Order: sequence, then C-alpha cells, then structure tokens
Amino acid sequence: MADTPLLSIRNLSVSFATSRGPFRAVDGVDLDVSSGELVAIVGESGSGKSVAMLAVMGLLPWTATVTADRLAFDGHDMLALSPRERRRIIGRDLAMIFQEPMSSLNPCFTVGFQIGEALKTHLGLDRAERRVRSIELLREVGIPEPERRLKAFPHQLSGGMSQRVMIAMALACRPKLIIADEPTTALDVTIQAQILDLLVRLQRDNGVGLVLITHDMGVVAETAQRVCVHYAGQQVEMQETAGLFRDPHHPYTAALLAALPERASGRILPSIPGVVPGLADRPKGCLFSPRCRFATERCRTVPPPRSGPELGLALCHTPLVGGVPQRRTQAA
Amino acid sequence: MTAPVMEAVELTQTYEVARGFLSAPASVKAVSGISFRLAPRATLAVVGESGSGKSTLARMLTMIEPPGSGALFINGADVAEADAATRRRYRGEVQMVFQNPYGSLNPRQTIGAAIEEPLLVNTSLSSAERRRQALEMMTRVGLRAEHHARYPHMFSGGQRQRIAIARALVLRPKILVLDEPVSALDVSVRAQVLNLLVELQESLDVAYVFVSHDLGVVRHMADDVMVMYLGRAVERGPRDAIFDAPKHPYTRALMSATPIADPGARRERIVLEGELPSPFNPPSGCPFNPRCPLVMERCRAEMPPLERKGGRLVACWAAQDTPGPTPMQRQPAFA
Amino acid sequence: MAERLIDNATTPTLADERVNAADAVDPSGAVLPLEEIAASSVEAVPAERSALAGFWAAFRENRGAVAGLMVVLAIAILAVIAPLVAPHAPTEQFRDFVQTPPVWSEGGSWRFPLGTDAVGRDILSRLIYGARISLGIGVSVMLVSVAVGIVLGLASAFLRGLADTVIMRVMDVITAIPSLVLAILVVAVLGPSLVNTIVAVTVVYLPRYVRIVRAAALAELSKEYVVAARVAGVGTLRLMFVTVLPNCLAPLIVQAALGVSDAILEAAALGFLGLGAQPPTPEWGAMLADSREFIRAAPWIVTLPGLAILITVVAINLMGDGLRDALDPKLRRS
Repeated sequence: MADTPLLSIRNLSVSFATSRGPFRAVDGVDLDVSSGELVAIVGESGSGKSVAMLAVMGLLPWTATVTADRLAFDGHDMLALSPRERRRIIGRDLAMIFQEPMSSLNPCFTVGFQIGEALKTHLGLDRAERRVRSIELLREVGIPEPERRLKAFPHQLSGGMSQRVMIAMALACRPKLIIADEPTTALDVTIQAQILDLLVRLQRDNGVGLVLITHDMGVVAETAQRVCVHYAGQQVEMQETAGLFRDPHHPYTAALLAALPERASGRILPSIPGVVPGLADRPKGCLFSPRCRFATERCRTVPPPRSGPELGLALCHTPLVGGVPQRRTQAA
Repeated sequence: MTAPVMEAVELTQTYEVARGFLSAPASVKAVSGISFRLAPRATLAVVGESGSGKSTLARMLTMIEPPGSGALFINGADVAEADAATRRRYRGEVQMVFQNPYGSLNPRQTIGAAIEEPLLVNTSLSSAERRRQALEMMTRVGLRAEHHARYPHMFSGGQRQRIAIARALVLRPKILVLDEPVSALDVSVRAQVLNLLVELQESLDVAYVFVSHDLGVVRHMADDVMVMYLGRAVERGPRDAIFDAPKHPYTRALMSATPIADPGARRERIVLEGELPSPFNPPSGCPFNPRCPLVMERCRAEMPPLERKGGRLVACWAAQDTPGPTPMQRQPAFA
Repeated sequence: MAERLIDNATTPTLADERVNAADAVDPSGAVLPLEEIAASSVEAVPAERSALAGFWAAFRENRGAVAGLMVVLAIAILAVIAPLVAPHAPTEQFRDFVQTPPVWSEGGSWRFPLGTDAVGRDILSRLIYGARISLGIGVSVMLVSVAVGIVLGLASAFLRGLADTVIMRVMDVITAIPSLVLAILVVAVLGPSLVNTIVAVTVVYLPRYVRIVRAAALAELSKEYVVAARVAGVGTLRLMFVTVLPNCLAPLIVQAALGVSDAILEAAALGFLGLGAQPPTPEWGAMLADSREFIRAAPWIVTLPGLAILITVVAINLMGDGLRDALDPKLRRS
C-alpha cells in the first residue's frame, strides 16, 4: 500500500483565462497522499492551495485549464475519466468539506434528506436503510439527538453543527480520501478545537487519507503529519510537520513562521514586506525574491531549482539550514 | 495613576427581537454589566467568541448606539449628559477600524475622499488643509501620495486596512476601537498591520480597545485583557496574569483550544462540550455552567460576581484567590 | 433559530480566501514596508482599466446591445434635429395628396417618401417629430420617477418605521391597480394633455423605482462602510445621498433605461385611446389611433407609426439588457 499512494499528483498546473491574459494559479505542484495519512497544505490567499484541490475534484469553472503529468486517484487517471465516471468517484471515494458550512448546505431541505441523497445516489440504499445510516453518521460526528436532528433545516443549526453535518455527509459513503478546505476558518476557537479533534479521530480510526487546506500554522502544527507550503501557486516546501517547524528550509516558510505573534519575542514582528505577486507583477526568477531577505541577483533572474528531500524539496537557490542560507552544490 | 481616557461603568444593552407574527418580542441581553478603565496609550483586549457581545460593546463604545443602561465616560465626562455639539466632539475622540477591509470602505469613494471625509464633516478646515492632513496620515500608515485618487478595489486587503486605519486616525482620536482588525488578513500581512498599530500607538498617543478572538495576537498587543462570555466579562486583568495563570475555566478552555504553531508543544487540552447557549434562554446562575468542567451546585443557582482573585477580576465560584491557575481535570490531547 | 442569529452576527469570514482567479489577480501597488527592504525589484504597475473602460468592454461584448444603442442614438439625433431633416412641417396638410402611398408602392413619390395620411400630412415628417414627443415623454417620465423614486426609496430605507410603512403601502396600492386603468384614471382626473400623460405614466412607474432604491439601500446599509461613515460623524443626509446612493445606482440605471421604453409604450397607449397628446400633435400612439379606419385602404398609415414604436422599444430594451449584463458583476466573466 505504501508504494502506491492513494492520490498521486505530478506537475499539476492550472491557469485561468482572465480578461487580461492567462493567470497561472497553480504551477507545477507534486503531491502524494497515502491512506491513513494527514497532509496539510498551507499558504496565504492567492497561493493556489484551494485551486489545486478543486482541480483534483474537477470542480473548476470553465475558464480554467488543468494540465498535469499525472493526476491519479486510487488507480484512476482523473484527467482521462469521463465526467460521468468522475462523478461516480467524487462523493463516494473522494469527499470534500468546505469552509463555509452555512452556505454549503442547501437551506431548502432537511439535514436527513441531504445526507440521504448521497446514500441513495452512490450506495442505492432504500428509505429505511438510509435513515439508519444517517442516524449512525450523525452520532459518529458527535451530534446529540440524531433522530431529531434529521428533521432539522440548516438554518436551525449553528456553524459548528452545520460543519459536523457536512463532515457526516462527506463520510456517508466511507470515502478513501477527504479534502477539507479551511474546514474551521469560519468557526470559533472552541468549536474549531472540537471539529479538528473530530476530523483527526475519524481520519485515524477509519484510515482515510485527509488533505487539510489551511492558512493557520497553529492548526497545521497540531494536526498534520506532513506539510506542503504553497506560495503564489508554487509548492515551495514539503516536510514532516515537526521538521518544518523546527528547521524550515525555504525562506518563505521561515519568514511565515517568524511573523506569527505567538513565536515573536519583541514588540515589532519580523514581517514579510510586500504582497503576493499578482498577474501584472510576477517576477522573472524566484517568485518570492522581491520579498526575500536572502535574495541574490541570481534569485531575481533565474527560476530556482527544486532541492532534495533532505532540504524539504525547497524551491530555492539557497535553501536554509538552521536559518542560514546554503550555497547550492552544483549537482543539478 | 493617570486619569483614564475612557471609562465604562456597568454598560448593558438589551435588544428586542421580534419572534414571528403573533408571539411577543423576546429580549436578548447582548451585553450586561461591562466595566473597565482605559488608560492613555494603553491597549485593552476584548476576547470572546461569536455571540459574546464584543461587537455590541464596540458599537456602544463608538457611540453608534447609546447603552441601554450604564455610563460611558470619555476624558472623565459622561457622554450621556453631553449636548449635541459636545457629543460630536466626543465622536472625534473615539474612532473605529473594522474587521473586514473589503466591506468597511465605500467602493465608490476614492481613498483621498474617504480619509478626508471625517475632516469634512467634523471640522471647518479648508480643502487644501484637509488634503494636506490626509496625505500626512497616508504617509504615516505607509501609503503613497499617488494612492490618493485611487479606489478601494485597486488595493489588497492589507493596504485597505491601512486606509481604514488612516481614516480612523485622521481626526487624531484618543481612543481607537479595533474590531478584529487583522483576522481577515494573511499571516505575512497581519504582521505588517500589527507593527503599524504598535508604531502608531507610540507616535500618536492613542489608546486601543482591541477586539479579537485570536489569543496569539491579543497576547502580543494587549496590556489588559477582558474575556467575555455570553455578554458578560468572566475575567479581566493584566495580560501576563491572565495568560500565565488563567483562572476562569472558560479562559482556560479558550487558551487550550487555540492551536499553537509548535508541534512539540503537547499540552493539557480542554475540549469544551456543546456550544454557546441561546441568549434568548440563558442558563440560570453562571452562564458558562452547562459547558463548565468545574461546575458545582452553586453555579447553577447563583451568578458569580466579578471578584478580585489572584491579581485579576474573575467571575467564577470555583476560582481560588491564589496566584496560580485554578485546578482542572486533566485530559490528554485529542481525547 | 436563536443560535444561528448570534452566529451570524460575528462569524469571521476570510474575504481573501475565495477560489476565484479574479481574486488571485488582485493587482496592487506593492505595500511600502515600514521596515527595511527598500528596493523591491518589481514595482507593481497595476494595468487596471478605469471603471468606464471596463464597463464599455463588457457592454461591447453584447452585439445586440451595441446595435440597440446605435438605433437609440440615431432616433435621438433625428428627434433633436427634426426641423433640419423633416421634409415638411408635421401639421401641414397637403389637401391634394391625401393618402399618398410610400415611395416604393405604386403611385408613391419622393416628395412624400413614406406617404401621407388621411388629411394629407407627410408621415415621415410626423414620425420624425413624433420621435421628439415619444422620446421626450419616455425620458421625462424616467427622470421624474427616478428622482422621486430615489427620494422616497432612500427615505423609506433610512427612516424605517411609520414612513417606511406608509410609503411602501402606497406603492403597493399603485401596483395593485392595472397600469393602464390607473393611467386613464389619472388623466381622467387631470384632463387629457401631454403634460398630464407624463404625470400619469410617472405615477404608474413610480413603485418599481422606489422598490429598487429601497432594496439596494437596505442592502448597502447593512455593510460596514456605512457604519464606518457613521463613526466618522457623517450625518444622515450625507449618508443617504453621498455614501449610500452611488452604490445603489447600478440596478437603478438598468431599470431606468428599460423604463424609458415602458413609458413610451404606455404613453402611446394613452395616445391611442385619445387620452394622451391631442391632435394635431404628431404623437405615435395618436397617429395609430387616427388611422385605424384606413387599415385596409391605406395600411401604411397605420403600419409605420406602429413600426416606429416597435423599433424604438426593441432597441431600448436591447440596450437595457446590455447595460444589465455590463453593470451586474455577477454576470460578468472574470
């Protein structure tokens, strides 16, 4: 099982046709996720972290062009599948949880109906079976009085409850992989803790793969086994969680961690100057070079190569070790 | 002790909420009995989750709505007793920055017009003088003069928050209410804006009421912290006292629930059961009792008063008057 | 229900986090860092189009709308320079040339390119002058009802309470009466004339503007920038007209453009019933009515004013649809 990952992405790129020319939202992303693994993707807005996963799900609008050397899920080539076959996989083996639980549920139907819909479509259960399974699912995600909640409409639920229902729906068909896109961003801290505990427990008990998209380094540190850091559509670093927080190899990761108020020592935070480059101001060399403390002339002109796994696959000319930039040995 | 620039005494706000066509309207106590004193150039952080009443409190402090009961003093003068002209002047003393930089700027107003507007409606300065002051404030917050004629949609979130800060500070208020000013911003931009706020506080002598749910940011910014739950202050005191040894079980739960960006830090974790109770039907006694791990018989019957215990004010029957934390049942992480 | 209510109040949302290419392209001048880092190697040069240019680019994509706009412009120009282009005076009767057919029919002549009517007036000239009246009615009805609608709608949204109830219930009553019946009623009370036609049609079309302004203003009022303006000390009047109104204009402009064509139709209907412009005013509806009896004998007399109304209304509607597409960001492509 370890040699064939559940989800395997090689060189995934997504570009959008905008009125001012094509925009590359995702640029050459690689990712492997095995069963029972929890991988986090972190990045700021515009880093393409959500777009990459929506591309896997095939949920992008028509203005998007998706290319990849490989985009395989559970042995299926997602790019070659017909829309019909893809729909059969999505929702059953591959489920997604979104950021806004309130708007992800259809306000016109009861919770029971919406969970039942997935059960009917993918598993073909009859009414009584659907009801039993729905109650079982709601209990599993920690909703009190599941029999009564089945008849509830989404507006009668709080944000935390709605997100539990969304998780129950994602679990309905026992998926092999769950993609959670900022599942706790819209929730309060104490509710976030409940939902994260629930996700981690479900992931561990059921052995599903979980891709957690987030911008919150704290959430990453407390849940993930492995972390991918995205910047301006590129994957700039990938490491085991402990290693990433102990010794970040990409200057962006290092700067991002240093900018967290809880890790700061002084009154003034070491912030990253500038903003993420947009369509008009994309640098020629390394995309992070205009904001990077360690940038050299080469960084500004030559796109950086990918380092080896010992350096966190950092996309950098001078990856950091212990906070000190390393001269690259000219091997590549 | 220096005289406070702002003092709140037992501020309470009750809303009538219509409940359908025939039933009588219900009343909701959004905020009850909030008191604090804010010293010049100090930062009071108000911490709470949604429904804690912190936004209602911010609206009362900025005089958008008058308090239902209680009093608000600015520079020692009671706001309720002021006549219209004086109240107008108080308005200039308290300004506000909002959470969402995309919603708090008028999309049809240029940056210059937005920053000059408070001067236009509150002062009789000439247009050249208004422009000069606006440009000066823009430089202070790190915007450039050529941004003056641009519209908000041309700016990123962090820059918009700078614009909102410039607009709030152009009248040189003594108090700035910041309602979740960085929670909509990315980490790298968040640090820039926090640094700006620190710097402006020092150079412009302004006191902050910093409303936030992010304890990392609060610990970085605050001098004093007030934790709110269901419209009440449950714990209030100096930052270090509260962060080093929180006494109220809710404060402790909030701190343990906040994720820490350090995978090595495995710590005691209190996962609260259930959710915020309905404010239409608040629990009897202590509002936190249905979720509290330390709940006792007394908590269900009597509301605990906000008492001085161990160097801060805390409203809890179980809290002890010792410098250390209140003992709690321990739970392993990810129970 | 209550839980939800509270949740909504302060649910933090990450406005930045939208899976949207347009968002990712957010062009911006690089923020001036407060600390070190002076020379960033790329100085952001936003290739941002002005709002007007963006609007025109979106409008131009809709070919029907552009065609509509051109027709409307042509008619408007004709109406303005009517005395220069019309071959004859609109009320001059050529007794010798009664019911002359148009030039392409047998017996037509270039002297009267579109023929003459039952009393020998040149139809082309009457149509050109009629454009003045029809467009004039349409535009003035639109202007008056937009102005009144803005005031009533904003008052309703800002004052709430009794004022809101009274204004909106009156609007409900107006909408409850069939529009033509109401217009006839107003004209019957005031007497038939061109000005009274305008008044009548204005009353009929007022509710839609009031409703649009009120709905848009209510939506804007809940936004934070309005609270921000209040905190800054902005008074109610300035808040209404300077802060909120400009943000309500997009739907209003679309409705106003479409309202012109509705007003033209309504005025033509009144004219047709003899309650609008009185003879010999060359109003298109009245021209239709006058020539009803010749529909067999001289069909062009009745067809041509009808065609004029049709073309104008269709052109304005096409243009209005284009406006809607261009002004509504939801329909716009990223």
